[in-house]
Amino acid sequence: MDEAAVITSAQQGDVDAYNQLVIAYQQLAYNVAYRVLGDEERAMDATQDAFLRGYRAIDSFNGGSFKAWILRITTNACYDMLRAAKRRRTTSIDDLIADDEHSGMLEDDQETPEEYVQRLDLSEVIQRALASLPDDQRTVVILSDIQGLNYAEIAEATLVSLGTVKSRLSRARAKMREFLSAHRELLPDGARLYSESIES
Amino acid sequence: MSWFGREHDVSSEDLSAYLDGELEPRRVAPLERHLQSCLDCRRELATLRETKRLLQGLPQRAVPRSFVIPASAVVQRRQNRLWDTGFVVFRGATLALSLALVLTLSGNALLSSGRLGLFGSKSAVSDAATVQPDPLGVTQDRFAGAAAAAEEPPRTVAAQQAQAAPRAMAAEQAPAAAASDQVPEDEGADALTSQPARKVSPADQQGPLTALVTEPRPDAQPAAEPAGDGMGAGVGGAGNTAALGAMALAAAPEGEGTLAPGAEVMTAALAPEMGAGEQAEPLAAESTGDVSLPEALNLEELPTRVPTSTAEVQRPAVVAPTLTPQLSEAPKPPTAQAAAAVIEPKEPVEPAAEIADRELIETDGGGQIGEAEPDAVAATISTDALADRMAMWRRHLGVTASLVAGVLLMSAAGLLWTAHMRRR
Repeated sequence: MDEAAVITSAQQGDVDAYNQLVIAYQQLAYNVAYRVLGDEERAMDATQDAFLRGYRAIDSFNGGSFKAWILRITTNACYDMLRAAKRRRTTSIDDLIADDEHSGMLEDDQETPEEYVQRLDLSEVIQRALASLPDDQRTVVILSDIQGLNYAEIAEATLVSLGTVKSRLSRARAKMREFLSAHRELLPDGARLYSESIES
Repeated sequence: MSWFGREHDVSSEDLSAYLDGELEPRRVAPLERHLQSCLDCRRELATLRETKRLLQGLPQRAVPRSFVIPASAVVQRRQNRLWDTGFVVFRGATLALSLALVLTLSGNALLSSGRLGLFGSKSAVSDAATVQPDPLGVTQDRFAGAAAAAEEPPRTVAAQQAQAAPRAMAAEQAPAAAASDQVPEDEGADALTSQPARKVSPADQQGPLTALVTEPRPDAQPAAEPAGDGMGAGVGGAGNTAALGAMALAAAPEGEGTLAPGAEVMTAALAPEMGAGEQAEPLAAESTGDVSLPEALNLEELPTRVPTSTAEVQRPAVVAPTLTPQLSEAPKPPTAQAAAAVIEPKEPVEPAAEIADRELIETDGGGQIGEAEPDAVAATISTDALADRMAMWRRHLGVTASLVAGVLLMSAAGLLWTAHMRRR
């Protein structure tokens, strides 16, 4: 796909051309939204909102990395949803019950911690580690370590400088390391070697 | 847990960037040499590498559904473009209307403070002068020629009288010349035509009037010469006019009735001959019953011909006190003109000329020559006219400011509305 020609057609009002771009980048956008938000339903809503915003704002794309451009719209949609969720969380106790972070712990009062840990897989552990990070650090480490973007692309997607990307990523990795070290029992057997290598 | 303090030349950020291949090339070699000798940094680098590996190992989640744009979104995009266009239009309109409102209010404020002298000009003064009512009841036409003369360099009364005399002579000689060839139709003409036949030497006449009539006026002829407009031809006839007047006057004591034919001629002809030093009593419009004049010599019934010079206006006033002794003792008519004319009876020629000039100005709007009273009245009128104009402009600016403010409010509302719709 000649991405530049497709983008030009989309800017001229060709919705089919824009949908070609949607198909090419929707998985990337959805996974970023999922890792940032930690919830499939909210991730879908954020992803749909991002592509609608992109369609309305396609005329404002002036070249460069389209991937970074659409990811910027996606992360902004995620931040809007997070701010709305925080406002609801402070006002409604029902939101606490429906919170994904704590729903697993409240499903069965009879479950032991060992059983609870067995239910978790690595992705969930990592997702919990990501949830412990601030929004800006979480986004940077997701774009870098999960989605493989370089520092320049991350800077373009988040509208920050290279130095800020470098510092945020360093701090995010450090916190991730601390969380995983504190919950090494939650790591799968393949990760335990990682824990043992640190203490040695 | 290892800690990287200031004693290390390598920071956690450097190790993280080195891990991602984003460290500056010039710093890579020093960092690698440091790692060879620093266990803590090697451990730190190892943990960073493992964390990154765990994150990279997360599987990509499949999209639960397609996120392609539906057809309804196309319509929405077109609407968004309209909102964008409307936003730009309202933004520009709001800025322009705001500027217009500021300018309008500023202009209104400046007019209110009187800092804008937009309408101060001589034209207002002259316009005010022209609209002044005629206190003497004399039409402008009668003094049109006098106004033209007033615009010329000022002359002495004697010079003006000299001008008036030739004019009077020219005016009289015209019908007289016509009458000489044909039968005259009016009494005035009859008097004229009859007079030359009975012309006598002025020295043979008696009475003060005769003496005045015949008294030579050294400055009359030289002053009259530059007058132009037909007066030159009449200069030579001044003596004839005086003689005719003397004849008429001489006939006056014989009876009231007989004086009538010559009365008009006498008053018209003798006035130019009188010196300006004589007391100038206005008799053209005002004469009371106390004046013991013959009934025929009713100064209100002045000659029908129109006087064409300042001297002619002055003529009745000059003649009255010398016609009869009673006239000299007649009470002065209480009119504005009389008050102006009797200001300086003993003064030389110039004050009387000024009085005559003032009368002309008051009657026909000779605004070019400003004296005390006309200036005061004209200034008052010009001030009133200026105030009226400024008030009119202030009203206009006030209405304009109100309209602009109303449109500005609507534009601002449209701006806010389009901005809200754009964000949706």
